[in-house]
Amino acid sequence: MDNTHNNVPGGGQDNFWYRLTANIIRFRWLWLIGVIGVTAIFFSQMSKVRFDNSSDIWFVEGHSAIKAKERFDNAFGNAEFTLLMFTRERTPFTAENLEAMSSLTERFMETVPYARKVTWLGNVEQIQGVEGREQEVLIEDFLAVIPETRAKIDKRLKEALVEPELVDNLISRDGTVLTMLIELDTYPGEEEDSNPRYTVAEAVNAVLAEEAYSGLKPYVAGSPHFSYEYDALAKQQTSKLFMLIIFVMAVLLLWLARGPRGIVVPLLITIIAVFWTIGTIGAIGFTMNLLSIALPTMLICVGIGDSMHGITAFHDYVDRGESRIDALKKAFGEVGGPIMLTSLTTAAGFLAYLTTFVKPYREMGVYIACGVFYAFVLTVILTPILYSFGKKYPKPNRKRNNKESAGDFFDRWLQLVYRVVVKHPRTIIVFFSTILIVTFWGFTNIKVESNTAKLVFKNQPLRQTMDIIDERLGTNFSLEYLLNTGEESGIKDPEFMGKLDKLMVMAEEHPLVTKATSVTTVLKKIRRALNGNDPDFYALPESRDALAQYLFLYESSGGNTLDMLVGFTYDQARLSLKMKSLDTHDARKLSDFMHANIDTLFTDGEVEIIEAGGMRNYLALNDILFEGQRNSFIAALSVITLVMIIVLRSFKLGLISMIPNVLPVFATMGFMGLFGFYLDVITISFAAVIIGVAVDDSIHFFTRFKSEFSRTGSYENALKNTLGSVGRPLTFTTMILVIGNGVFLFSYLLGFFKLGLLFGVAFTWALMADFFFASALIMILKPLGPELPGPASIEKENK
Amino acid sequence: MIRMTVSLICLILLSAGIGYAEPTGRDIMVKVDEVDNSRDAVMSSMMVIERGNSKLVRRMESRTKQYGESLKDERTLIRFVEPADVHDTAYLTWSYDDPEREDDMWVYLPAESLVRRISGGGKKGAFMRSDLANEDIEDRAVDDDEHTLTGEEEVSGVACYVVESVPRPELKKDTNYSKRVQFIRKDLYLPARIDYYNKRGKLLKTATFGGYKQIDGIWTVTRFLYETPRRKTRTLLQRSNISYNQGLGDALFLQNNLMR
Repeated sequence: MDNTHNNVPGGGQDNFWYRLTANIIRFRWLWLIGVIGVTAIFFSQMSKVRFDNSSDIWFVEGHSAIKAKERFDNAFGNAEFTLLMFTRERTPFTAENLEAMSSLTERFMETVPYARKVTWLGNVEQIQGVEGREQEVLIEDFLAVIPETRAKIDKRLKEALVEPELVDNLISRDGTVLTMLIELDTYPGEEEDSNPRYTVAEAVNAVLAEEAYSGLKPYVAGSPHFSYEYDALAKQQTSKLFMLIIFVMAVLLLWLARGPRGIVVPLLITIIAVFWTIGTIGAIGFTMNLLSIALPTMLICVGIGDSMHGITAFHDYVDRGESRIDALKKAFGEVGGPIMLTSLTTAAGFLAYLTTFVKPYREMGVYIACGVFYAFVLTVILTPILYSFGKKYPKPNRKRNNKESAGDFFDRWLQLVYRVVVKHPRTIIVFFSTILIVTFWGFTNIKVESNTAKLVFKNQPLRQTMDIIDERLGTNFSLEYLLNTGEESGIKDPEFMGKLDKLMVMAEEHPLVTKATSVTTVLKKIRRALNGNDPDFYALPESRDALAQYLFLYESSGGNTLDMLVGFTYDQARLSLKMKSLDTHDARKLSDFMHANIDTLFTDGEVEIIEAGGMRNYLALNDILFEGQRNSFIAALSVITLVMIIVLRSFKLGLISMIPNVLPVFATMGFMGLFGFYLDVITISFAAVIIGVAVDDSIHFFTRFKSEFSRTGSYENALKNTLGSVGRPLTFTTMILVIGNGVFLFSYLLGFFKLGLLFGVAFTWALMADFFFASALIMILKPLGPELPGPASIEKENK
Repeated sequence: MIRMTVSLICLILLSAGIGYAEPTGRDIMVKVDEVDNSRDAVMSSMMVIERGNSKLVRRMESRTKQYGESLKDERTLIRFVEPADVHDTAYLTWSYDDPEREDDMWVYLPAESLVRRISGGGKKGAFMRSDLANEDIEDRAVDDDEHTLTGEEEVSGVACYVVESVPRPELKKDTNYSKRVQFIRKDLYLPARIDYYNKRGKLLKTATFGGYKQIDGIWTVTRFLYETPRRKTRTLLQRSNISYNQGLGDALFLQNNLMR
């Protein structure tokens, strides 16, 4: 296909964009200084950006999950902890190592901020009847003295395995793992410590690095460490992926955009747009989070097209023999409008995220909308300026300049597209419609996995630690219940305690639950101890006074453990379930099981029951992600459809233009739904970027098609000219995006890996849908009315 | 010349005398320990524990009698009055001055009519969910800590010695504190305030003392306020109906009589 700009009379001569470009080139130094000044301002704001990776980021204020957590923290203190796991193979359970662990507990108390209590098998208090002396009860640390020989140690550890309180808690069921738990006080306010989790994690790491503990090789888990290491990994990934993506794009641009300037300009524009956006985030006081890591890449996705279209149009004019300055003015006179349109549509699409209740979505929507707008502004300013320097007549592409040749590889590819569409429109429509219908059905069956723990690849230490907890202890996650009687001393009612105990036993019998804990375990244990260790007394006391007195005994001897199990005024009790990392589906089943039991046990509604804990959060997250994704998708789709109809001034053409926009979404996500692949938090969050990119393609394609049709009056010629002009930059940007996003395949975060794959497929489908599906539909449906008699139609008839 | 020498000697003696008047940290704490020289004591106590808007009230009656040659051993019986559901629950402790000898303790649970001897038990735990740890209320031997006089300061307008008490290294494991800074009233040798520092050297909680009364010739603190700012909790302990040297019988402090 030859250079179709030959047929276009002067591009958008003398329109607003033409005059603006002329002005920019004339006062290029002033404009350049302006851009540098603004960049400096945004740069100064970048340091204000905070990174927030708490599990709460997903919930907007007032969400029930946050309220439940607040209730819990109020009643039972900070639920976060640090967990150290010593496996027998990495840290043999020798007397020397056990002594080191013993001194480690003291060292943690001395150095780890907010540490409230450090517990391990060595210092956990046991209350027991004394063998042979019925009248006596012994309260003692489990390893009051560390045994001297391996045999004695092993014997003592074996004794621990029959204590239900210790198993799966401080020692694994098979006795090969010992744990140490650092409980934490409520964190102080933000002004005192901006990131208490980091403070804790760093202090723990510093102690473990001390010479005295070099023999201990624990795995360290718990929220502070998870957050600390995940952030570190994410930050390292961000810079690594960003550098990689820049490199890959540079290589591609070198090939596609002719010469070094073609690399520098688009990259410079997107990088500056990223800086401006991050500066904006800092200035308005928003936070960056797990999703923001992808911000630079996302902006490259939606921003690089702008400059590509400008540069390609410029080269087209140069190839036609225009001078450098004229080519620039004409190119931007021509593409300025569509670029603005695509940018505004994309921005509007992302702003539609504001309709959801998922906080990071709303923030992300604003960030990308901002970034896209900045990229547009920078494109129309910087591209003409940076291309205005140099020889008056740049060297045209010899292959393409020669009217007789078939053009380069891309021209031949576009000719192929044209021929296939014109010859087989019905086959194409049947093919694509089938895909659309099947994948739409798949899309409705999509499942979301919101357990972020599994988002990290297995070769990462972070993930290995979690897998070991899963395998050896099975206590990675918790599901918590707060049972509120609403009155002081309400839980001292034997009937209530009986129900709580029943609920706990039922939960413990559930195959997914590793361990269930409540105050009833403690009560039963004390009662047994006070009755000469007689197993018959492993039951709840029967009268209210007896219950109160056992609790009182525990209260005066045990100390703050009680605060973790019952409310301060004995008005509420806690039931805590520990389990392996479950997928969302199993977690929901378990939650439903618990609710059913609660409903049968506590019938008259006298007890208020609140569900919380990590697992509950994942379930809530799952719901809001699914809903958020659906709502933002519908909102974005509505906005974009409206814009397309208005822009194309044709209802029919507007609707047809939406098909290539939704097809890539269905074709990728629907495919996953169809084959039962889960969408994870990251993947689902960026689904809208697919629409963002797809819509850019369609706008360029359809606006050009419409103007070509009104000029030629022929559908076939309009298609030929459209493919010949915007087909080229569309192919370029798609290639750059597919290959560029391919760098996500090098991410350690599984979500981003999937995203790389998903984007590649989606962007390809977006282009194919524009080129083939939409074109074929237009050929058949003729949405712009009957063909007009014009030079082109006559020419066609003559053929 | 002789006159000069004499006045110089006088001066030296005088200054030495002034130096001698300055006690050491340990001297002060020994005096504090000696303030209560009673043979026995009877009192009622009320404890109000506040956490946010919630409040717990505990009331108890206690009897104490000194034993041993130097009256350093102590037997204490505490019977709880409130809350009603633990009414009559009682603890009996025999504590010994000899650091090698562990305390004896018995508990009586009336609902189960059961008396049990309890051995072991941590000192670090909170006392009945209050801001007091068990170690704060038990009789602490003077030499369990190393005391250093660090200065003098006024607390609520009263002159105090400031004594830093750091637990002996071998006792470190049994305490929540890296040190206690005690403000001891110079006039009464009773504390006006104690600052408790956690193992990280940060101020953990503060105890403020008040209601000083001379009862049966013995100066006694009757009001204690413990505050833990980080946890937003405070505990007020009030003593009343105090009497000393009533000639309490030994039978009162026998485990057989716990179940009265």
